[in-house]
Amino acid sequence: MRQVSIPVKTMRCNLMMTNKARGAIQEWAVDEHAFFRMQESFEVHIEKRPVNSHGNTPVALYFDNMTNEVLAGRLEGRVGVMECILQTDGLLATNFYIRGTRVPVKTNRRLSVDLNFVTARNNGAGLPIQLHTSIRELPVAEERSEYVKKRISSWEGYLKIQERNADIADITAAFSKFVFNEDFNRLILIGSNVKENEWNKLKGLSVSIKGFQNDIGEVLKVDRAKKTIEVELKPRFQEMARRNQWHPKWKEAVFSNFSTLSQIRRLRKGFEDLQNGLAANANLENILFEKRPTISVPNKKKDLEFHNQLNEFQQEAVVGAMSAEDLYVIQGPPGTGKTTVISEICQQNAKAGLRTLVASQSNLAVDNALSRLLSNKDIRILRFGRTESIEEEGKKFIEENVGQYWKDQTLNALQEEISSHPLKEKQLKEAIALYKEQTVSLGQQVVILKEKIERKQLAQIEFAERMKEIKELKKRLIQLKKEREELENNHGHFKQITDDRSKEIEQMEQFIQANPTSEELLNKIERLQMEIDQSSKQIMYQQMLQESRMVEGLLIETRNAYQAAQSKINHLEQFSSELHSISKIDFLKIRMNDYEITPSHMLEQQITNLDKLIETIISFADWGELNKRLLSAIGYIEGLLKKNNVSLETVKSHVNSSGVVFDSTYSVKEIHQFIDSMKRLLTSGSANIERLEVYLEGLNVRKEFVWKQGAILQKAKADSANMFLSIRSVLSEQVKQEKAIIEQSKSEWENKAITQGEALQKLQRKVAEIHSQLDKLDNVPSLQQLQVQLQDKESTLLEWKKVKDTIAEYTAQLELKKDEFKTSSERLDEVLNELENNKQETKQVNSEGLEQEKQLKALEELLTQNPEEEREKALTEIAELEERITVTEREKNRLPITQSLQNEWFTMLKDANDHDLDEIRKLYVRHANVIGTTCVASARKEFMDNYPIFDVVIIDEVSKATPPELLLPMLKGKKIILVGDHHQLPPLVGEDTLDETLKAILEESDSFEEKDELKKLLKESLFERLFKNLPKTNKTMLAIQYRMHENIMKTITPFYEEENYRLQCGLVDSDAMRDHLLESQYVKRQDHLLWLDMPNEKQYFEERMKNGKSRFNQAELDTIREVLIDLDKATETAKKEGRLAKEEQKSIGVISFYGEQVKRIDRLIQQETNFNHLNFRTGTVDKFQGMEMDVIILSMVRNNQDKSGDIGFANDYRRLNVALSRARELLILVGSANMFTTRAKQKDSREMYSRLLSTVKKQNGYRNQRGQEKK
Amino acid sequence: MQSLEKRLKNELQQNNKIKIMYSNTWSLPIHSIEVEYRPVKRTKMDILMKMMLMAFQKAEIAKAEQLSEILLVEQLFVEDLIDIMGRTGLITKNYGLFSLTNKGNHQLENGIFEEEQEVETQVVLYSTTHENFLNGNIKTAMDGEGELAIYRYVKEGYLDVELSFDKEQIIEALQAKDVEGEEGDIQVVISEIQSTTELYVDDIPCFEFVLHNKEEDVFYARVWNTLLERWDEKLENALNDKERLTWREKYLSK
Repeated sequence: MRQVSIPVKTMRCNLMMTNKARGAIQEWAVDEHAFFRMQESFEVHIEKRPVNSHGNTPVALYFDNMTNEVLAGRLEGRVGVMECILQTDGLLATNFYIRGTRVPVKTNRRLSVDLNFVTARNNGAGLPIQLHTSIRELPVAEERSEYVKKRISSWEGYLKIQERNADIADITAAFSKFVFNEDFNRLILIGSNVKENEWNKLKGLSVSIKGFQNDIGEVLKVDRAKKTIEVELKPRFQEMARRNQWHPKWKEAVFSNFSTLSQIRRLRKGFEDLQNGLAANANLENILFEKRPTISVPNKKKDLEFHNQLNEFQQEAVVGAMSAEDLYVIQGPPGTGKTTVISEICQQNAKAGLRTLVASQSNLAVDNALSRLLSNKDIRILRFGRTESIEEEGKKFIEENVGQYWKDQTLNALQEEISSHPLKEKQLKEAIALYKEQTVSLGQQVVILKEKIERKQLAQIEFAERMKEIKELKKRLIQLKKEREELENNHGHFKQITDDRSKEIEQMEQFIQANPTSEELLNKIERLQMEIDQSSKQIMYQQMLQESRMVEGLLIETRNAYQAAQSKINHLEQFSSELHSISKIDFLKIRMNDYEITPSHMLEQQITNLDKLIETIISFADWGELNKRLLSAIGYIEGLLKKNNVSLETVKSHVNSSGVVFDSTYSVKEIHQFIDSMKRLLTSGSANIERLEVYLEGLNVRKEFVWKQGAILQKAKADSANMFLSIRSVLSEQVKQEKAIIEQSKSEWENKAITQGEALQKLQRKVAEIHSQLDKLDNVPSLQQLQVQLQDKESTLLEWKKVKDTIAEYTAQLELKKDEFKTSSERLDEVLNELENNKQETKQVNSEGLEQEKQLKALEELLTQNPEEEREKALTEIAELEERITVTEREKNRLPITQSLQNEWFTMLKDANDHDLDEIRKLYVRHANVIGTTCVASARKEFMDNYPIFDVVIIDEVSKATPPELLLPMLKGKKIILVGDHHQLPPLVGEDTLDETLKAILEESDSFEEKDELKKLLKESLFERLFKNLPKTNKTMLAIQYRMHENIMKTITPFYEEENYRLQCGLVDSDAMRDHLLESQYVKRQDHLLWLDMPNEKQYFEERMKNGKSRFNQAELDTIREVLIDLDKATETAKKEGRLAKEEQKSIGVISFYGEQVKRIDRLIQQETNFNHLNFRTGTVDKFQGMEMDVIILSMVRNNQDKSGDIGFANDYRRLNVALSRARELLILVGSANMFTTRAKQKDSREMYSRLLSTVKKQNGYRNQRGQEKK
Repeated sequence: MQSLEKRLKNELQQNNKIKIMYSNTWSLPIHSIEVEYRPVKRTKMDILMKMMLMAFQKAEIAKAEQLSEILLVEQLFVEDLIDIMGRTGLITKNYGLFSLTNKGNHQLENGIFEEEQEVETQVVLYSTTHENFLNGNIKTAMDGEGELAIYRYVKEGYLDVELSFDKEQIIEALQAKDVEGEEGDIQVVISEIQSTTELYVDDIPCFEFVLHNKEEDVFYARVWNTLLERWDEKLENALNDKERLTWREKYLSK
């Protein structure tokens, strides 16, 4: 969001044209080529538009109408705008048009670049990457504006308050008379014929009288009942009134809201400027609207030299403000030297060449700040604003007076300079003499230094020599060390060898002694060998024997198998011979079992099937019986029917036609039952022809079924016979095959038996052979034992052979080793000798080296001194001094001229009149670097034109301005410094605070939306939010106050407890520095804080104005009168007793929460009393913010016994804070303690006032209304 | 005199809440002072530019800084003017030093042109009560003027004390009488005051009214100064301060 910095470098950029754009351009040049050749390059400000429906990024190029001189000339200062589409190979212009001269070109949303547009075809210029990147990073201007618009709309409420009565048309009314008040500053129009509904709109409007050119003032008050309008007169018209020149021809007044409207217009313009990105600091919109604004935190604090005496907090504030980049916020409780800080910052800025705007909500604060600036040539202050509203302190800085101000300042400086003229020559001469003296002494120094340098040179040579020697010695040492190391190595080596040899010799000798001689061993070995041979043979014999037994066993097995096969074959042959004669399956099965014949799987299946079939056939046995019974029954029935002459044919046909189902199945049982039932019928005697016919039918049907079953049976029988035959033949085949297989294995067994028989014979022969070789065969151990013995013997044999070899070897080596041992022992002795020599030499070289180094160190010390540089420095100093002497001489020589010029200048300037100063005034205005104005005035057009931007904008009393007001100066600052105190009163609208007004509007408002908006405003104070949310680097609180006596300060410290720092008193000795010097009935010297308690009784109660909300309290007025008379006397006494100077007056502020009470106090002071030793300022607490007095009397007014317990204005802690913090030396509260500490409705208020009362009590300041101490 | 008083009363009584409790007429002594002064005619020329031209002529100036130190004037101003003078060909730089061109010399001559004029005299009016000169004309005496008492708080011994004035104060008084002026490039200004002579003392009438605003219970004085032809706040304030408390007693306790 930072303003894009412009690289000064010009970029080449390809520019293509649509016909539309070309057409538009041709209004200003022959064609686009001519147009863009008009200037070498153009400064344009590129604005990014939202991506269009084709996905392209449109941009608008605003041609700067100041820097593009040729183009601006052609366009008569108006602004050319070229709409383009961003393409990869350049910009495509889609349109070109002209806008007014005042259209802003450079904004925070636009990228400023210097472009050289290349319009030739195929130019290859393309779109510079840097430009492309910058455009990509650019925010879309509309979106940004929308964002700001949305956020700023939350401030609309402020404008609404101001607009409340502003949207009315001018009101014209006649009046019958007018009168002035005693000071001619107010005019009262009497007998006005303002319409009924317009009376309440008049307040605050500006008034003009027919016949006068300008408006004469503002409506202060109206009284509808009396038909009077009170107008506050502008000074010009006050003067007229005094001269009695106020004779308007027509008694007609026009009331208009022009000034309010123009103010609102300016505020709205501020909104728009922010929306359009016209703030001098691009980050401003974030600062204002982000909850936690991101601001650049200064990485380094500036190191500053201060012009004012500043305490630590003030220094921190100044350093912080100078170091900050965007924003710095200073919280300044009463009397903490805000103005000093502002003044210092202005001065620092001026020194740094920066221009500062000092703005505030009120003219008074601006003038106050400006007047405290040090009179300094570097600072040129200019006060901008309507002359009549500028206070006396600020008047000298207005444009028409700055010439005079400058003159006074310069004359003062000149005067001082001229008064020093007589001394000047002497001073210069003295200076020259001093310089010369210094030159001489420096010359002497140079000589000494030269000697030093020579000595140093000699030392350098010696140093080199010594270094060389030391180097040699070191080399020798290293060499010795190396030798020693080698010797030590050798020593170790030989020692090792000697030790090894002696050990070996010892071992060998021991071994030889411990073992038998070689011959003995040879014998032993021979004997053992023979034993081994014997054992081997025995083992072989045993093994053979075992083997022949095993083969015998195998042969028997083979013969058994052969016999089994033979018997099987016999079985099979018998079976197959019997097979033909077998005709029954059961018998077949028995035979198969007898001959152990297992049927094949297929055969088994066939046998199972046959079994099933046979079972079926058996089941048909019943059916034969049934058939017989059935046939006899049919015969019987047919017989009966024939007897009765019924034709059987009819019955049969009946059967066929009666639909009886022939397919029906019947069980045997059912048919028997059927016949039984028929029998029962016949025996019962109830049979008739029809029933018999039916039975016959039934019988016939069943006969059919039975016969069908008979057919099935016949078929089964035939099938079973076939199946049996098939089984038999398959079986015979199977038997044949089986027999063949068995015969095959039989012959195999036969062969095997023959082979095994032969092997057995062979083995038996071998056994017999070995047996004959063995001596004895008794006690032959088992095979296993034999094998173990053999192994033992063989290993013993091996061992003995090894021992024999070793002894032979050792005997041979022993002599050799003894020789070796001797040589190495000799060598060892030699090495030891050499080592001793080496050590001696090393010691010597070392001590020599140490000696040398000691001497070297001494030389080194000499060498580290740098007489050359010192000499160089001295020489430069001499040169500088000589230069200074020349300059001073010249100055001295010129002195007459300079002085005469100064004198002449002084005279000339002194006599200068306004004409003579005119040019200086212009110079001053052009170079003014501290400019003061009110927030709203900073948006006036002429000011905007002259000072569009400031390096730094300082806004004082920020908490007293509304955000829209603050926005106006903020828009102009690259850096913004806010100074305020949110614990003091917020902005005033008329006589009420903003809060009170907002609350009033809230009560009136019907629209929820509006209510919501207003509530938000009530909650948020811009200053408070910023102060709370900014990082530590960007804010500070001034925590040392210098105004109040410490005791008075204690009343307000609770309001600042939440802050990081406690409010402290900067007065070193409060009692001495804030001594009011008074001693009286009410006040003692040590008193600084008093509360005169008014009883909470009827005669002391407040009263309310009949026609208004304001209140007053007569009892308090009476008490105040007494106190004032007392103080006046006390001051007189103080003067008499010499504590106070004769002409001095005590400054006394009498303030109240209520305007009506203030008015009555005014009257009291002016009309009813005459104080010679006091001077007064009176006002409401709200109006007193920013002021200070020696003594403050606060009239608290509220005192009643109403149930509501309302204390109105006094509830606001900020108002109380302001009231308590105005007094330097003495603060006197006049009011009912009971009312405020116990009757007040709000708990917070009761606590606040109770705390105040306890602070007062602690200082013994609690009194009754006559000033007598209370407990 | 009576008609004037009547008119004033009438005006004051426009406001029917106001009651004139007391009215009086008295005279205020006004001293006529003859001032001898010498005006000069001189060219209108910016003094800083003039001074710089003179400095370049008389002294060896190489840098703006140097001149700024001599004149105790902001370097920025000096630089700006050097720039202008360079552009308009008044000065040039030779051997590193600024010097005047012919045109510059000519300009300076014109600039320092001053023509002393004959000594002139003017009479100005002084009020010891106001401790200042008042701008007005002594009018022909009104009827009954001679019998007026002198203002009761006039400075004691005002007739015997020798008056002395600030030069500034006198020049201001003269300027108020429009004795300075200008014609084209030439202006006439007062360069010195030669002498002041007290001529005589006039007593000019003043009308005093003590008013009471019933509604607000406020007392205040109105004094019409016939020399100034206006309500004179200086006199009003003096009376208010001195007498207001007594008015209340006097006029309300009745």
